[in-house]
Amino acid sequence: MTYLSYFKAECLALFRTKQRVVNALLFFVMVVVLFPLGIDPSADFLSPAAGGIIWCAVALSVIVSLESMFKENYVDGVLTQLILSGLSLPWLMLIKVGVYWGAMVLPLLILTPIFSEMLFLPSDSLWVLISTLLLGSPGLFLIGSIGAALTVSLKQGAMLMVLLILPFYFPIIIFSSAAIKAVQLGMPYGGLLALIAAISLLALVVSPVMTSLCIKASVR
Amino acid sequence: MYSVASLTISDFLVERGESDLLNGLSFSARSGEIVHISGANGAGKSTFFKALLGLLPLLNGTISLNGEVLVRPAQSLLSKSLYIGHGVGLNAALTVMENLSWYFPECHISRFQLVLKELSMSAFAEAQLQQLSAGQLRRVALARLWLSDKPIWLLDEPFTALDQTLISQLEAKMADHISAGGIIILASHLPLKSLPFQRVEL
Ligand SMILES: Nc1ncnc2c1ncn2[C@@H]1O[C@H](COP(=O)(O)OP(=O)(O)OP(=O)(O)O)[C@@H](O)[C@H]1O
Ligand SMILES: [Mg+2]
Repeated sequence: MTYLSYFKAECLALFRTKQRVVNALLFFVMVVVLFPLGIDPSADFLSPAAGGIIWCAVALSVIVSLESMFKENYVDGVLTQLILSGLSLPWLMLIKVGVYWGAMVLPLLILTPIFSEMLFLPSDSLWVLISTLLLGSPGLFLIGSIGAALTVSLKQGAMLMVLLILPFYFPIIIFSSAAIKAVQLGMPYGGLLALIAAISLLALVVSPVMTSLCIKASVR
Repeated sequence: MYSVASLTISDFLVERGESDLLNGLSFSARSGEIVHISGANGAGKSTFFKALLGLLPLLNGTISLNGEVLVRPAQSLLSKSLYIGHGVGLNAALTVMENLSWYFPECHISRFQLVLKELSMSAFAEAQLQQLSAGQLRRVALARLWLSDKPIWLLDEPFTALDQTLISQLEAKMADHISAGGIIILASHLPLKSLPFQRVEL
């Protein structure tokens, strides 16, 4: 087993179980569509709210896509073999999260302009929204993988995972929607983007180690 | 020939749930030997392998490899051993061939085909794992024994779900392995039919 062969296997496996990613994307679409239908379809309401709506939907759909990322591997004993492989488990976990991130973020970036049009997001804000997505979504996936690893051995772990990791999503969501508001009000937003990037970088350092610790504690 | 001379386990004690297991289990396996661990369901056979590999903490006990006491995590033991447990360790979303090339990226496809042929699994090389029967799945997991060059085999119930033909094939493979100087530790409810082994009762 090598890092490269693991990367290839994970890509293939995610491609084979693409229903999981498709479900998460459908979930994203539904959440975004429900806001104008349920609250107010006018541009007055939607235009300032669009950034926040899209970010909440992204955060929820990331949780949906990550919820069972380790489940099958745990049941089949693949995680045991990864621990015993002699390769560094944090790197393997980083590879796995990276594959999931890649598979989700590309379709999200394609969907975002379509839905921001629907939510009357001004086009100058769109670029900020896309920047926040690019900078913030790695953080969402990295933090989410800790939750998924922590609850992997539980039968009904999904709800617990949401409760555990959602609080850690708040800063990313708050700073992102603040950045989008700031650009709509003509205020500087560079600092907020830097903060989002900082959170993602911090998660990049902490998450693989935490995830592999949780995996090792669950595989017994 | 393999470079491992001996693996010695002494005074193993592992906490599992409420109770302590293994009760000071000690044994030594030299190059070319098979250790057969037997015991009732729940006696702690699988627990032993997990403790040996460092998946479970040891309350007490030492492991020495070639006379050298190992400090955990025992990378030198992990790099020399191949563990096949109750879980097959295969990715259910991939085909048989893809699983093998994930484990052994350095091997050529023709090598896999040869091994699958020997295990009468040629027809299933491109099959999804969900389409395999329990025994066929175990065969794919055991194919790792044919492909790897690790000297120490740790096999937890390797005969589960296998038919008679494959049981004798596996025993023959084990005979090859020990005659090349490898070490096999296996837990099983069945005694080995054709091979000499050292018996350890839990
Ligand atoms: N994850 C666990 N948490 C707590 N206790 C466990 C766990 N797994 C097993 N046990 C307990 O540890 C004991 C030994 O289990 P183990 O799996 O080692 O048995 P075994 O000898 O391999 O049995 P079998 O022949 O059924 O495979 C059992 O009494 C079991 O109840
Ligand atoms: Mg067992």
